[in-house]
Amino acid sequence: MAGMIKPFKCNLHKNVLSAEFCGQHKDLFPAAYFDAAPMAGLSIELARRLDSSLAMLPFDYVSEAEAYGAELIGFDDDFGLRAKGKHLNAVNELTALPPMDFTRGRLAEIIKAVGLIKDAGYVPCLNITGYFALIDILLPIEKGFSAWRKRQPALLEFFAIYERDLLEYITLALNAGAQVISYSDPLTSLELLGIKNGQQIAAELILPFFKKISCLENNGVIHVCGISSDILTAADAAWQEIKLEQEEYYSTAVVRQALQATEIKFLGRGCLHHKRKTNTIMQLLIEDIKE
Amino acid sequence: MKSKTEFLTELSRCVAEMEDDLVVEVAHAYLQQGFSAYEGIMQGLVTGMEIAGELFEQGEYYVPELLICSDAMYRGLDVFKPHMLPEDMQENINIVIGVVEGDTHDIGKNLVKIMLETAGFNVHDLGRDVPAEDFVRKAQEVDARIICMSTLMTTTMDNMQKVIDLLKAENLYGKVKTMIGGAPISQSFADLIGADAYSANAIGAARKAKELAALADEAVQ
Repeated sequence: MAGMIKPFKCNLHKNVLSAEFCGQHKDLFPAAYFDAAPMAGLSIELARRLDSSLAMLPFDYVSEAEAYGAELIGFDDDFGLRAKGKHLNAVNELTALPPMDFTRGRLAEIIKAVGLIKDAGYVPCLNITGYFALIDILLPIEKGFSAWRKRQPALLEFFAIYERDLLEYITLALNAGAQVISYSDPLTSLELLGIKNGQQIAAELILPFFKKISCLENNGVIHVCGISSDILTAADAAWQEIKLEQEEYYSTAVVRQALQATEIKFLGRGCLHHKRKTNTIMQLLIEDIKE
Repeated sequence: MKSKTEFLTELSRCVAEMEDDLVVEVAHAYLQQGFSAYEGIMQGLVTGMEIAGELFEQGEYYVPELLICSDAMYRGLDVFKPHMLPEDMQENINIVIGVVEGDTHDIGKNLVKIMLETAGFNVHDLGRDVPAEDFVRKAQEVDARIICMSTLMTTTMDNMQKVIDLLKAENLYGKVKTMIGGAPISQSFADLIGADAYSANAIGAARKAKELAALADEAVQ
């Protein structure tokens, strides 16, 4: 199975917030990065532009790292939010980071914006960042990969902290009205990691984490981006094809599944940002995964 | 006691097999025997990195392995560099490298840097999110023959053009060659903005840099 995987082609480098789109909504910047009302407004504008009811937020992949203290730049330039530099120098420093605070700052505003989007009649989708994309912001990535290869206790301890924080973040977002949680980690593409590394990360980190999410008493969809889905497939995770009643946009199909969900359902192997029609979507079968 | 050849083989193995702690011990033990730091680098560490590069090309190693191998090489270099003799210091060709302004994705750039250093170039790494002016200023400062730029974002591709425009304004275009790469970059984009080369991967970048360096030398003469 693993040897037959054709890596998912990601076009997200074509940027969700294009210069043209940002130019049309200049009045919402930079507040849309850190204030719930303009953030919700921009998310809805983005959904309208994609002919979708799925309103995604935040518009960057650095909010989790920021919550751990990473300094950001780009609030007022054309390139968007990004980390100023690597926040730490050594793996051992990871465990001394402050815990995520959901009561103030951007994470609190993001959760508030989820509620505003829901109230406006759109389907809120919280974007969350995977393990290694986070590490790439916090540390020189070779130190992260080296620590992972040695299963260095400080890294494993930090990943456990991150899982606990993400679980709380996801729960708060679902309680606030989010119906889709979009998980992505571009640092774990099969092309970058290779099969063996991908299998290990999927089997030891991602799938057990998903199993924990599946135990939440909420309804909704966890969507796994195409790139992150590949390594789950490499680790022999089971996917089941769901045939749609009619051909529709991929994001519309995901929304339909989210609205019908009576528990946490895992979908993936597609991209919520691709504006393409489909007549099938793929569900990750979580039952057989060991915690 | 180990022979010099055995030590060099061990250094090479440490790099190629990602032994980033052991390489420091072996490098110190090698120096204690009075062997040449320069040979330790060139016939030990660099040879190990070349092996890692071959394994990467063969699909045995992927990006994590290559990065960890390079970490081992740099840790060995930190031990050897203070022991280099003046006659070992070569006048290597200078290259300036960085991720263009607005982008922080630097894995591809780091891989190119590693392969350029393994190929013997003197690489000045400006890091990521680098303004166009900094590329040109650094190239002037170190008399670089080549500027290498990367980006993963379509929104920041145009900043490569800015660097080339600045080189033209400073009358350096042609004397300082430019090479570009990254997910949205293609040969046609390189042609469009007047870059001298495009490479789709790090191994190819090192090969093209050798060709560009020869061309740049001709242009300077």
